[in-house]
Amino acid sequence: MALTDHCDIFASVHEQSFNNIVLQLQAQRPSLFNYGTMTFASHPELLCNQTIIKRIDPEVEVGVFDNPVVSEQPLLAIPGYSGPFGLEYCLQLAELSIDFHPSNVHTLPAALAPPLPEQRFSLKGRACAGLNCPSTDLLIKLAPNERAFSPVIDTGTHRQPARDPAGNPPKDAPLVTQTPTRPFPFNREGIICFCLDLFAVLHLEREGSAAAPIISLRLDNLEIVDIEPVRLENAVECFLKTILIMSVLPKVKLALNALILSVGKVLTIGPTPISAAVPFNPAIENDQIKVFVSLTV
Amino acid sequence: MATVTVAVNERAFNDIVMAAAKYLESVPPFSGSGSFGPFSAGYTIGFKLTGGSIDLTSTGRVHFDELHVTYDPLILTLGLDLPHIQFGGECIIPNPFGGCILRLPEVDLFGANPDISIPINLSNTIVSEFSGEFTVSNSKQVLVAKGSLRPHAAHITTDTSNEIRDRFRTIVGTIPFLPASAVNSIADALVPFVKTNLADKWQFFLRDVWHDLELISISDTAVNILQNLSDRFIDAILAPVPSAVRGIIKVMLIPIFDALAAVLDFGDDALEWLSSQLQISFGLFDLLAQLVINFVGLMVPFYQFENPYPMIEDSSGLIPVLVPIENVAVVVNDDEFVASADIV
Repeated sequence: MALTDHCDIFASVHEQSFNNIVLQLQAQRPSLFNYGTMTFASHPELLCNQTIIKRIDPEVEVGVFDNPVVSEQPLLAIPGYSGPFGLEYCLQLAELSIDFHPSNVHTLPAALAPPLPEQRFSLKGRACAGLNCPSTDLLIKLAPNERAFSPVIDTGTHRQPARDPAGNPPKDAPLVTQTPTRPFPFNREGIICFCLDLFAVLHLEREGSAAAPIISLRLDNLEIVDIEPVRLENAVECFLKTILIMSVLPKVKLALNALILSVGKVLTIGPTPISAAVPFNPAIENDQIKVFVSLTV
Repeated sequence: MATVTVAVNERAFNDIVMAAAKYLESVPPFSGSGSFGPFSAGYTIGFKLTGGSIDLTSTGRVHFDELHVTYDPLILTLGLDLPHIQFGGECIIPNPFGGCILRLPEVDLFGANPDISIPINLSNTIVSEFSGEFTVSNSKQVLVAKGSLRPHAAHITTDTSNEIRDRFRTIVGTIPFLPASAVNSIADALVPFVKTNLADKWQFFLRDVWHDLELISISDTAVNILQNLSDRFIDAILAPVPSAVRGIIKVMLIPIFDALAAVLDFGDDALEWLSSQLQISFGLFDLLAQLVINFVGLMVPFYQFENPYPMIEDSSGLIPVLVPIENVAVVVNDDEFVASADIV
């Protein structure tokens, strides 16, 4: 059977291609995947997930061309504290991969009811974050020496000042009034790391009228693995699902008419219409995404 | 299994031919003229693709089957500009108070430019025909000059070596009796089409298995002349008959003319079949053209791309993202043209 039995031009991309491109991006543009404050930026070896860092091979490519491994971020401000100190942290997108039906790249969690249904694909992302936690002694040492609170008993003859005598901000002031400029002394043993695995099952759907068809991305389900307690996990998943369905995915729509190219007003190149022979276009099957294109003179 | 596959079928190739035909019809005719002393010549020429198809064969060849280009309009205008002659106009009764009362008549000869113009209308008469078979092959160019350079370094390093030039000179040097200066000139002229940086490259080469170009296809041109004459004859003798009826008669005659063209083209078809079997072009011009195409095609790819492929180019000082592409293959079968590769 020919690849173009039901179309004029056929194109397919295997899931391995997408996943290899992500690996190349991680190795050659690591700053797209690693974020951190100044110490993490200058010492990528302190980042939580070292698998992605080892893939970079900084001695030969990124290193030679002096490209950043980590995108430097400002210090994390401490709510309610107005001073120069801020916390150091790092955030990494350690893994991003795709698995077209049938499922053989990802081991889907039970909550997503494996195996992957037909015409579906799954995305897996692993996000790792780390916080450099200063010791309690250090925190006590560096904590601001605030004046003691002196309660003022209102006897009816005294008006409450806008700012209390201790110099504390009024109650409606912002929680952080000063951008932190100094990190706490870095404590290598104090780095607290954690990683979260996120799985999402999606599919492509045709909608719109026959004259103006649209391809949209639909979320079937989403799962964050192993957050405790379970109700917290459910709440976070619900929140993410709401963001995706209400905010992100409605923007990921492709008007198929926009893909119809007219060459010199004599040749039209566009997606092959859905039919019994081509029930899905694009089709997600055999670990590939397949696109069928037709030419009309 | 290849990780990226693109297939184009025979129907798509023929759609492209039909689109080209339609496009040619929409292009306004070209005109031009020139003078050579008292003589002048002008032309108006338009092109129509009036037949032919592309077949993909099980032997891995792309077969262009009798692509017909009909010249319509094709009007040649020959002109002759004779020396301008003016006489007469002299005053025969002068006016004593100034001016002239009566003059001789003034004669102006050959004042136009050109004075004699002969239009030759060959519209919808002359046909050119092209047939041929081509194959596409690919290979990876790895320059010795690249040495141990890593992909990013090779990508940004211009090839200043003479490696490609020397290779081309060796190939061109295989032509017997060609002086060394000519060998060097030919090779050096081709180098800029290939030489860029030190990165590896996937290159695609075209090979002309055979071709047959008839600038004037005798059979089709003869049949066109006959058909034009027949149309005029029908229009003349059946003038009182409604034009729709005349049109039907003309359409009924088309299969006869097609059959006649097929009979007249039999010799050419036989030669094309023989060319296909022997994989060589017949005729001095076609043979030379085939040798030149294949000789140049041996050195200059019709398309090349870097490996690793620069998927995201440099931005604000960051290195480009280079994606290695391996196992590039091009296959032609009875149904389709398939290009495949692995992104590794």
